[in-house]
Amino acid sequence: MTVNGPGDHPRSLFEAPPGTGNGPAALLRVHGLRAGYGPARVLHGVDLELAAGEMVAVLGPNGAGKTTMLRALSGLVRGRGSVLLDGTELLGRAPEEIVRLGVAHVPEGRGLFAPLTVEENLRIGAHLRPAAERAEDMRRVLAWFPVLRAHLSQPAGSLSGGEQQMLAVGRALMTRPRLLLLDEPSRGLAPVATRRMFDVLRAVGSHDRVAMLLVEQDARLALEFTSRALVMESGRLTVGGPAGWPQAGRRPSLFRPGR
Amino acid sequence: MAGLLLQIVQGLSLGAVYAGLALALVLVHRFNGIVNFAQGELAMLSAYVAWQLLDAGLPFWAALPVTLAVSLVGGMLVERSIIRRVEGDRELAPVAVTVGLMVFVNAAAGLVWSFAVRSFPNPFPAALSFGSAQSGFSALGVLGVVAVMMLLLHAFFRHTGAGLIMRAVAADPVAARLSGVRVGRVLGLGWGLAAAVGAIAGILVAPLLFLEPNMMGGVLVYAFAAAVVGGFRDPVAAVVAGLGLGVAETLAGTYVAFVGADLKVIVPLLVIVAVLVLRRGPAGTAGTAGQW
Repeated sequence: MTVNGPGDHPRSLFEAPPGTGNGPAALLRVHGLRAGYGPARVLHGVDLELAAGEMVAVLGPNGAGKTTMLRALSGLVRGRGSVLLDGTELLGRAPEEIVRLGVAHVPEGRGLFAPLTVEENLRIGAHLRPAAERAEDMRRVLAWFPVLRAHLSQPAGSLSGGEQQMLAVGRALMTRPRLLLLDEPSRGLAPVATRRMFDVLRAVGSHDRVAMLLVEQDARLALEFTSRALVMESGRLTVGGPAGWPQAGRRPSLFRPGR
Repeated sequence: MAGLLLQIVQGLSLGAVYAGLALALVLVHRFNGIVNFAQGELAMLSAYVAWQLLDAGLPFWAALPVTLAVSLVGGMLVERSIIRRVEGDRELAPVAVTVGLMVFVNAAAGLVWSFAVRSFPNPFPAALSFGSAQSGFSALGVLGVVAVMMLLLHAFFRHTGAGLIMRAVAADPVAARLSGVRVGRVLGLGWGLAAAVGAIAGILVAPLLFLEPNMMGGVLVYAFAAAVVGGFRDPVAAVVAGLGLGVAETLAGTYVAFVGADLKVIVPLLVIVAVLVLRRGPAGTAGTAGQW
């Protein structure tokens, strides 16, 4: 039995709320995305729409395919189906080309350059940007994450886990993305730093109109800060709706459709 | 005493050549994880290019940059056309390909230039030559050229945008791709730089060994030993080991009676075995990352 046939749920649950993700305003349109590793299929047809400036959380149990979905969107895993960013097909492109189209991915394990200094990590994030704007972008990122300023000439690998997470997000923001993919941005962060991180993400999202898709284990946090939450289960986005619809604090598993 | 000093200077200059080739090996390994058995033969090919230019009447210090440019482009082409097909292969394919390249380049050079031994002009003025001092002067010249090359390389990696991107690729190719770096081109540039660095070693050693297609065989063994000391990752350790090997080889050949000229080659082999045994792990697992 299928758990997510279009007939099982109101179609609107898979789409952005009216006025944000629907229609020509959608920045990202994912349709029937399938992906896997060798013979092991992980994603079984993901549909998703994301508007510019919208922040959407993907919840769900371990192994459901949340990370694989982000990896397929950024080109690290080969995907099939269709992923349109502002009308441009992303599938089949190399990760470095997808970045150049405006998609930044902060992967699990952070994707930093451990032997390079904090400043060098940020400079690499900005290497595709016009030289004249890099200094201003650097100033912006250091204003968002002031703790990094004290460690600019230190190797990234010597930072604490939480600082590395901030640096990884900062590195991604230095590319000035239109779409930011975040794999557990709160991991390794103390509660206060986590809220700070989400405050920054929300500010960037609304100010720069950056769309964000974030995988998060902390459902309460995700539902508080995002505009919508989706639940990934067994390689499909099984349910979604405006954040707050699944009440903050309740486990997302309670909202699985009955099998 | 003056004899000993001269021996040490000569050992250092020989060691500088080993260090140069070892640095080329480390460069290639840092960027695409491949041990390039053909590094010596590519250097030999560069020496022939230089010889051809000199034969056409170019002065040495004009032929050198042209040769380096040819080697840089040639190395990039080899990587982009052949090596990239086996990159990321953890098994024996890269070894087979670079060994095959070594045999091919050697045979091709023999076909084009024959296996006849040719003399190669010593670029360093013999103006100060009186007795043994002349060889000491040219040894210092070799040391100086290798030192300048290493400083330039260091400055390139430390202080240029392209160098920063190359260090990022060496540190984490996947993270580099996620920052928009076209990693394939960087890997090609890594091979090109290695070929240029190796070319300097080839050109500097050619006047000492005479030019022939097999001239780099022995040098490669020493360079391998030096690179192994640095775990094929640490350029500083490789350079220091190369210099040390040159001195050890020269001194052992002169002062240790049973070693003599014929058994010198056991010095690098002993170093390789000793390092591998003491490290208790495959080469490349040790060594410090991120130093240039």
